[in-house]
Order: sequence, then C-alpha cells, then structure tokens
Amino acid sequence: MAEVFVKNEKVYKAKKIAFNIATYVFLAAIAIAVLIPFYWMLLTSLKTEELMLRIPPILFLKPEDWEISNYYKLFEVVQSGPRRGEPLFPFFDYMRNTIIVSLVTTAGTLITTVLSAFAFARLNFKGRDIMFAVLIGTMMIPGEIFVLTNFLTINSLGWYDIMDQTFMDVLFAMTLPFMTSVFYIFYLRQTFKQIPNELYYAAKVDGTTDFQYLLKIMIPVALPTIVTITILNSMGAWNAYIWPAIITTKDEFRLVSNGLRGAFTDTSTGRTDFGQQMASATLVTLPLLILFFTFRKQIMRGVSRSGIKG
Amino acid sequence: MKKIVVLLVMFFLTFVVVGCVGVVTTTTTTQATTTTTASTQSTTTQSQGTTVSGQTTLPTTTQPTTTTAKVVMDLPDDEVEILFWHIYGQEKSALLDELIADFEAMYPNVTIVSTSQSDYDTLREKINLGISVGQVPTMALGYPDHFAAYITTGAVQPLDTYINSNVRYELTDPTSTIFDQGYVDVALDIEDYLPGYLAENNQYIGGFYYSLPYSKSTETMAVNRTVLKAHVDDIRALGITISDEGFFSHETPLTFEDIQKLSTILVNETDSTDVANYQCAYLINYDSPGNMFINMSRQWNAGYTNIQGEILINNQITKNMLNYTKAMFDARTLVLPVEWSEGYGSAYFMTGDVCMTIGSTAGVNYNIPTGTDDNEQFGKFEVDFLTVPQTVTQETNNTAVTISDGTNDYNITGSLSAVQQGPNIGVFSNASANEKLFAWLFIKWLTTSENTARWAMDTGYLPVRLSSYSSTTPIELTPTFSITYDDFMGIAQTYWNEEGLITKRDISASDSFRVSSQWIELAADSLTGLGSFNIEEGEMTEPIISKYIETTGTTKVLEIYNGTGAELDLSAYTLGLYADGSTTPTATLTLSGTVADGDVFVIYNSTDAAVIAEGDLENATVMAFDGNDVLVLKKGAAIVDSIGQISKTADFAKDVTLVRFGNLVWEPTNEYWDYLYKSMVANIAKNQADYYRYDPAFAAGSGSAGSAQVRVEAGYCLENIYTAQYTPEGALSFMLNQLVWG
Amino acid sequence: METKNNLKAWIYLAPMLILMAVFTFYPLINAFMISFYKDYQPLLNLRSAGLTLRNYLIVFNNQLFWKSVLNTFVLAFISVPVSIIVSLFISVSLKSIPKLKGFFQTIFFLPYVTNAIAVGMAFAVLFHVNYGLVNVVLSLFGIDKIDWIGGTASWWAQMGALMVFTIWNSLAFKILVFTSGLENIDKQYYDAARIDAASKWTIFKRITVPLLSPLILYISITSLIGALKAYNSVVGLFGERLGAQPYSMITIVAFVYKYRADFAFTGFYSYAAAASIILFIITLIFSILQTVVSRKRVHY
Repeated sequence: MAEVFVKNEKVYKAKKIAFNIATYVFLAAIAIAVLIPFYWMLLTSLKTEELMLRIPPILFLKPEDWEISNYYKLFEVVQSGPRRGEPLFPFFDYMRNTIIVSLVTTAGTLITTVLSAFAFARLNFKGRDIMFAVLIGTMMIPGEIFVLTNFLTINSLGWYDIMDQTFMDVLFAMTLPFMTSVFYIFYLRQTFKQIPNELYYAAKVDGTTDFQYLLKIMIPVALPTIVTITILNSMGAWNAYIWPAIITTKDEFRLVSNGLRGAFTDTSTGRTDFGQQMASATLVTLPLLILFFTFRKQIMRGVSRSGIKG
Repeated sequence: MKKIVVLLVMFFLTFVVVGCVGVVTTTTTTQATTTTTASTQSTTTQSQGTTVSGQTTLPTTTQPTTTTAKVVMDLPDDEVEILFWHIYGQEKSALLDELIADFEAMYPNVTIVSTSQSDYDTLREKINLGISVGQVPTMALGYPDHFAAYITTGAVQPLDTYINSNVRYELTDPTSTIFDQGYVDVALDIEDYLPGYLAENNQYIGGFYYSLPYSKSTETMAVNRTVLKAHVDDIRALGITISDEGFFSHETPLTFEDIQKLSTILVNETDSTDVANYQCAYLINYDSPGNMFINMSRQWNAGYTNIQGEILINNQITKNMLNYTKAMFDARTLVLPVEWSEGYGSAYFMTGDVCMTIGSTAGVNYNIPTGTDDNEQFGKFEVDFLTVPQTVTQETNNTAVTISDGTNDYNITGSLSAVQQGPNIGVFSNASANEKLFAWLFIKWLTTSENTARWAMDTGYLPVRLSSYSSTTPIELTPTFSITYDDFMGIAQTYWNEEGLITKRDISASDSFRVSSQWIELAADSLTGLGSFNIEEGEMTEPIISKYIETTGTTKVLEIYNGTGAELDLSAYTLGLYADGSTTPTATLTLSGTVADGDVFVIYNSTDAAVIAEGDLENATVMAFDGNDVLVLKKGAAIVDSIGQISKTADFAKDVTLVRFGNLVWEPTNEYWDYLYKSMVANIAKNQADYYRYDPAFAAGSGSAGSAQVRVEAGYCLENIYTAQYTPEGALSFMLNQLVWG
Repeated sequence: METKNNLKAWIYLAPMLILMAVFTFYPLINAFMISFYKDYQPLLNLRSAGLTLRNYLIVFNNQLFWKSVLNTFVLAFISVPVSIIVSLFISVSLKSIPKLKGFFQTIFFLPYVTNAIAVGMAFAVLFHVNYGLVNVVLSLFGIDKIDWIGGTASWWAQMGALMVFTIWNSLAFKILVFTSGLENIDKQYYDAARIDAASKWTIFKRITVPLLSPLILYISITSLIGALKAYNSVVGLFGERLGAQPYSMITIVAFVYKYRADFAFTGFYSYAAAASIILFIITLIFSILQTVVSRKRVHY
C-alpha cells in the first residue's frame, strides 16, 4: 500500500510542476503581449523625429541615443514675445485640473453607485427590475449623441460663457454629467447580491437599520470592488477629451488629454511629433501607475470572510 | 390656486412661443439689413466673385478708381475685448502673439484674447455649438467649408461694409504707437489681394465677403533631380525640355502626357527601386487623393460641384477621368499614400521609392533627404520643385484635345488648374459694433503687405497680397538675417539661373562652405589607395577629409585632400579630437607642411611600415580615436570639415576604413541658403497663381452632402480604385451613394 | 416591510436619478425625438417642420450602414466570447500559481494606463506586412506573410487584426473583475472538491463558473453592449480612414459619428440619431436574449 501511495505522489507532484510551468509560460506569453504597446510608448518617447520615420522601425535604442529632450522640452518656457516666461505647454495646469475633476467625479460616482447598487441588490421595491433594465438600456446609446443636448443644458445653467467662464463653472460642467455610472452600479450590484441573505436577516433581527447595514457590513465586505471602481473611475478623467474640449473656453481649464492632444501637431502640414506626444503620454500615465500600485493589494484581496461563520 | 397655475403656464407658453418666433425673425432681419448696404458696393470686386472657372492673370496693383469723400470720426476709445479663436500650437503662436502685441500697442484700448482650439474639427464644433446658444468668439479662422455652414445661420458678419467704407477715424490716444499717423481708414485696398483668393471668399450667398484670405497654400511637385540628371539624354529623346543638370521648366508645367513618357524610363520594371540605373518603383506620389480628384476634374472640365451645392460628378467625363487615372495607377506612374497605409508619401520620396511627389507647399522640409538615413537609397539627392502637372498646355487651354492613357483615347476640352488651400479669417455678427470694428482693423493689420509676407516666410504659406512680392521692407526672419520678399524670391531664381552649380556665383566674404558628400566603407583594416584620392569634384576653397582609417589594431590614419586648385599651406588648420561625447576638444593638433593641388596629406599614428611610408605627419594625441570620437578640421574658428557628430557617444566608425565618395559639392551654408527650398516653393506658387481654382464651399442640403464631405469621398473614391476595392464605375457609384440621397 | 421599502428605495436612488434625468434620460429622449424630426437645424433650433420617418429610410438606403452592421456584428459576436474565455483562463491560471501573482496582475493591468494612441501605433507596427512581429512569428511556422492593415489587406485580415486589438484592450478590466471575484469563492468548496478527487476541469465547470456566474453575466452583458459600440479601436488601428481601404472596417458607431460631426447641417443630426436608435434596438434585443438565457445559470 505504502508503495502505491509514494508512486502516486511522485506522479502527482510531477504533474503539478508540469502544469505550473505550462501555466507560467502561458501567463508569460500574455504578459509579453500586454507589455508590447507600453514598451512602444516608452520607446517612441525617446526617439528623435528622424529616427521615428525609419522603415523598418527601430525596436531598441541604446541609452546614448535616447532623446531625453522630448521630456524636458515639455517644460520649456516661451522664449520671446509677449508670452515670455509662460510655459509652452501648461502641463501642471492640465494635471492639476485633471486631478481635481477626477477626485470630484469619483467622489460623486461613489456615492451614487453605492446607494443605487444597494437599492437594487438588497431592497425590494415596485419597479425595481424595470428601472434596472432602463438603466442598462441607457448604456446602449453611443455617448457623443448626448453632447449637443448636454451642452445646451450646461449653457442654460450658466456654466458656459465664452468670455467669463470661471473654474467653478468648468468644474460643475465637467463633473456633474459623469457622476453616475450604470456600468459600475451593475458591477457593485452583482457583488452586493453575492453577500448572503442570512447576514441581512441576522442584522435585521439585531435591529440594524438598512443604512447601518450598508455602512457597517456591505461596504467593508465589498471593499475590493469599491476600490476597483474608485481607481478605474479616476482614470476616466485622464482619457476624456471630447467633452472637456467642448466645455472649456480657456486653455488653463483644459484637462490633460485634450490639452496635449493637438499640441504636438503642426497644423499646416498635419504631421505630429510623436516623440513629444508619447513623452507627454508617459508622464501623464505615471500618476495612474502610482495610484494602481498603492491600492493593488486592496483590489486583489478577496472578500473578507470574517463576518460569516456558520 | 388652479387659476394662478393656469395663468403661469399660459404666460410661460407665450413666452416660449414669442421667444422661438423671435429667434427666427431676428435672423431674417439681420440678413435684410445687410442686403440694403450691399447695394452701395463698387463694381470692381463683384465681377470676380461670380466666375467659378476663374482664370485671371495676375494683375498689377492699381489705385482704386473711386475717390469718395471721407467721413471723419473719432476712433472709439472704450475698452474693447476681442476673442480670436485659432488652431496654432505654441510654436506658430509666437509670431501671432507678436502681431497681436503690436496691434494692441497701436490701439491701447483693445485687448485681443487669442485661444487655440487645438484642431480644426474642435474649432468648428465649438463654433457651431456656440452659434446654437449665441456664444461665439469675435473672430476665428476657418476653411470655406466651415464658413459655408456658419453663414446659413446668419452668424457671420459680411465684410463689404468695411471694405468699401468711406469712414476715417482720427486717432485720439497719444499712447498709441501710430498716433503720429493721425488717422486710420476703414476701407481696404482689396484689389491688392490675389484674385483667386478673393473669389473664394465671396462665393457665398449674396456675393458678400464673409471672410478674408489669411494663410494660403497650394500644391507643388518635388522631384529627384539626381535621378533626372542621370537620364537627361533619354528625356530629351522623348521631346521634353530638360537642362543638363536635370532642371525642368519652372514656369511651363509638365503635362500628363509628358509624365506618361517619363514613366517609361524612370519607373522600374519590378516594383522596387533600382539605384544603379536610377529608376524608382513609382513615378509620382500624390499626397492628397481628394485634391487629385478635384484638380483632375477641373483639368478635364468634368463637372464636380457648384456653389448651389449640386453634386455633378455623375457624368461620362468624370468616368473617363477615373479610367485614365486607373491606367496611371496600374502603370505605377501614380501612387497614393494608402499603398503604404500612410497619410503622406514624402518619406518614400526620400527613400527613393518614388521619384516625384505632389504635396502641400507648407510641407516643403519633409521632402528634403537628410543623407544620414540608411534607407535613403539615393543618399542625399538633389531636390527641385515644379508646378503640378497639367492635362493641357497654355496653348491648348480651353480647346478640344485628344489624350490617351495607352489603351483608350479621350476627347476633352481641358483647362489649366491648380488647387488653392488654407484657412481664411472672419468676424461673427454677434459681436458689438466696436468689437467688430477693431476685429476688422486687426484683420487689416494681419494682412498688410509686410505682415502677410512675414507670416508666409515663417510658416511656409503664401502672401495674400500682390504687393508683398515687390515689397522693399526687409523682414526679420532670425536675429541675424533679414530679407525683403523680393530677394527671398530671388534665392531660388539665382539657384535656378546657375543650374544649381552655385560655385559659379560670386562668393561673398560672409559665406562659409561645407562639403556635401558621403562616405563609403571599405573592409576593416584596408589601406587601399592610401596616399592618393580620385574623385569628381566641384571647385573647392578648402581641403576636405578624404579618408578615415580606424583599424582593429593600433593604426589610425586620417587623410586630407586638397582640391582648391593651388598648393595649400596647412599651418592655418587645426585638427581637433572630441572624444567620447565631449563637446570641447580633448586634443588638438596644429597641422604643418604643405600639400599640392590634387594631392593628399596623410596624418597617422602607426607602427605599420606601409603606413609610415605614405605618412606625412605623425601624431599620437589626436590620432587616438577609437570609433566613437569626433574629428573636426578647422581653419581658425571656422569648421572646414568633420567626421562624426559632436556629443554623441555611440560607435559610428569603429574598425572601418571610410573613403569619401560621390560628386563633391561645395555648399554655401549661410542663412540665405537655408531658405532655398522655401523660396523655390514660393516661386512655384506664384507661377501657378494664374490658374488657381478654389473649391466651391457649401453646406449640406436635405438630400446632398456638404463640400467638405464631397472632398473626403472624392479622395476615398480614388483610394478605392487604387486598392481595387471597386472598379472606377463602382467607386463613383459608391461615392454618389454617400453624397446624394432621397 | 415591502411598502416601506418603496419610498426608502427611491430615496437611495434619488441622487443617481436626478443626475441621470438631466444628463442621460433627457438627452436620450431628445435623441429619440430628433430621429423623427424633419429638417432639424440645431443651430437655429428649428424643429417645427414636422415629423417624418425619412431619416430612417436614408440610413437604411446608405450602403455604408449595412457594411457597418456586418462589421459590428462580426466583431462583437466573436470578440466578446473569446475575450471572456481568455480572461477567465488567465484569471484561473493566476489563481493557481504559487508565486509571482502580484507581478502578473500588475502587468495585466497595464493596457488600462497605456495611452490609446501609443497602443494604436504599436499594433500598427506589430501587424505590418514586412517587419511586423506577427508575420515574423507566422513565418517561423512556414506561413507566408499576410497584409493585415496595409493597402492590400483583405477584409478577413483586417478583421483579424481588429479582433486581436479589441480583445487585447478588453482583457485588463475582465481580468481585474474575475481575479477579484475568484478570491471571493469560499475555499471550503475547493477543499471539498479535492477530497472527492475531482479533476481540474470538473472543479472549474462545477464550482468556479457557477460561483462566478453573477460576474460573468455582468461582464458578458456589458461587454456585448460595449463591443456593439466599437469605434475607438477602429480609429486607433486604422485612423480616420476606418480601414485599410476607405470605410472597410466601419462600425455602426463610426457611422453615427460621421453624421453627428456634421450636425451643423440641416437634418444630419437626425440621421445620426436614427442610426443610434437602430443600434439601441439591436443591442436591446441581444441583451434581453442574454438575460433570458442566463436566468437559470446565474447563482447568487
């Protein structure tokens, strides 16, 4: 008997190792595929304009050939003329605006998402399923169709003024339309629904109100999802450019992606200096990476099981 | 309670109704007022506005014939803020900002806030959205297509009242920089503007000027003169005039018939470039297929669109034109950038895959090879710029001719045509009277003879005024270089007159020269030809480095060649070593000795007897380069020749023997010649100006598309034919499906 | 308990509803109505010309529209299942490896932070006919090089490249959701299965998938909705031309935006609105189908 066990165990271990290696290889292949465009972004940001036009494209640059000027040129200052001393690309203004808009939008989204997901997941009320279906339905229309109507709304609220727009105006205009997200409400609702009913009934027996239940139990349990939503939503402000481009009238209010979008394109020839564009893109994604690294553990952590026994 | 609610609702409803009606009526009334003032216009400008197929000669500037009495008023001195929207990034903005600052100094009560909207699509979208809520800037740039849409809503201010105004404003602010002038007239000498540009700006409803030209460009054809020069005899045998140095005429355009003939000798049988025989894979690249369609349509008089917005492309002539073009695609005479999935074909012109390329005059520099890219199969070849090819000649213009594409003959009555592009500038009617007045004065200021010339030279666009061409005011291009526009045009003319052999021109004391040629690589450690140098050369006034030997061992050799025509005393020269990326010399050697004309001077560091036998000067400090070090030959402080690029640390010439090769050209390098290509293009643009044709601009109708979309679909039509996605008939029918409906 | 919940629930929903009413419902209803307006000129607010179905007819008569429907369907109905399966596999693989979990998770998150233009450029290089990595790898297997996105690219090759691009872009979020969801599954289930000597596949099929089903449903519904709205991926890979040949990879949303961009012209906004309503109906049908089919399979 003992021999059988030993033989099986060896085979078992060998299979396990082989399986693990296969898995690692698989994951590594995907990882490389995922890394390539990121690497490309970094690589292009270090090329001179001349090197960029090479065919076949250069795949690797030795450090001596790195064109660091693509980076520090972003912080250059206008040399002469009436705007002397002003930064050539108001990089910090754009970043500051983006961070503020991102924080406000995310805060608003969190509030509406948590409250709404709770209502849909936990509460029973008339019209719940129909309302939910309607909300899903709103995702089915491409966003640009809303731009005209929302623009008219913002204008009638007085937040668009071609001469005298203030930062508060812009802040409201850029955040309010995006403080709700059916995409995240759906996600959180699924997570909330997975919290067992027994927990709820037990809490009810103890006399907890719904709101306390939400705050004290549901939110902590679903924290990974909530953190994920927070991070992903904050990133939205980085990529948004259609709406910010339309709703801002002054350059200093612009967000990062639309502020830098046309900045490196020569309008007479239509050609873009991709080196600088990629350098600015790299710098812009740094805060996002830092954000992700900081909260990585929170996102990856599983749902806490501490409250559930028996 | 109910009654009050009902009353409130009715009040609200009437308010809304009145408001809506009010919007509709106010727009019509503003149009009404403008029609009445239009009737007082002078007649000289109107006649140009109505011709669509305008072919006018470039008139000389004439004084306006009407001398109406001036109404004198004081210039308004209220604080005025003008909002100007454009799309210039920070770099172009610099010149614009200067012009704005100058203007604000001239009119101290005016502030111009200029904002860039990053690109034309965003600009157009924001203005359109703004029109819907009554919030538009005071003035903005735009293409005719954009203005066509704005005009349908009555949002644009017709400028005729200002152009023909007899008002004279007295300057009242002593702090103004033009106070001494005393007064400023509102009227504009519009006859000084290029007629083609003007026609584009008053083509709209009612014939009013809704904008003025600002930043115009056209197309030009860049050609590889090195390739042409190699085939001069063959080209002459085909009956096409070409100079010994490979120059075609810069005034008389090549015809497509000429192009087809050239294709037989310049295009390689296989679709790759044959460097040895100077043949390319394709003859001509056309960057903008949209322009190609439109321009060919006009050259064939095929019917494209008209001001009323009718889409006229569904005719037999257009189909013939497309079949003709397809034949040229098949023969690889013409190629579109879609072949390489690119937006521009100029990169392939530089690599030698195409021998010629047609693109915007604003993109000149992208056509000049650098000489440092290995992919440039012809190296740093000579570039010349020509007018765009035509279907007919000056003699056969507007007469019936027969042309062939090799298989089919087509009978057409053709016209000369070249495109005219670039944004114009306009004022919006929403602004206050004072804002509009100063916006107008600003437009006048931007387009004065000097300012438009300056803008043109700086940006690669063309001046909008005729008088710019003969202006005698020097314009400062860099802190050390000023030139009048006339002299600027002269740079290319001088070059062409000298057949590009500028060594024959008088060399001025301020000129400095550099050698333009390349290196060929021999096997490592090769000492072949040490001590002599044979090369076809132009005249030189300085020696050059003719050989560089960096061996795998310890031998280092540098050879200096004297082709100046006389014996050279080398004591005036120094050789500097810039090792490992240093930007200052790490070792310097003052040369000594003399070298006869046609002979070489060998500097070495070696223990090899063969080298020592040929050597003229031994040195160990400078001759210590190891493959990533830069060597510079100087006379006093002036750099005569060099090898390597200062500050780079990569190995570029390690374990290698390099010999100078190619037709050595002695190139002057002062700033004057930095503007050579821009000057060429400016001359070409002027030579084509007689037959500039603008694209009718119109808004979409209820059953047909707007002019912008027509242009896009026209380009796609040609791309579909090129990629064989559709036959010419099929592509045209798909294009129609997109442009005409219901 | 039920009636009390009604008022309470609506209070919880109030913040979201108010904002959505102004910025989503109102524009949506507006868009729906605009699709029926005749000669709508938004710049002058002219909408009194009456109602018509002509806008829908114009959309149906446009050859491009049908092309866009075909492209969108092929792209969505293949890329969504494939990306869900691939991301599930990756997530499960991630869970099973003893070490380097965090390292891989971080890398898989990168597509989210990579600039969209950079991604487009990188893929354009990867799929280049002469020097692209994809063709290089194919040549190792003896397959001739294919033109994926160049001027002579076939529809299949373009769709293949677009598919890979779309799947690549969508992996990050799915992996994030699934890995987080997998952590959620009680270890007890796995332990019990191991005692019963169940195979890995059985564990996956009988435990992992059902327990992950709420999230799988979420991902599959939202992914399909998103995939039917494909636009950025086409522009990212092919540029404004929307394909290697003009319009060859046009999607429904690209078609909508083409007309919406010209909203200043009379009637054009209505065409865009009509096309988006058609898209809405299509998406609605498939989402309902999905929900019905999944009803039995989703366990909370």
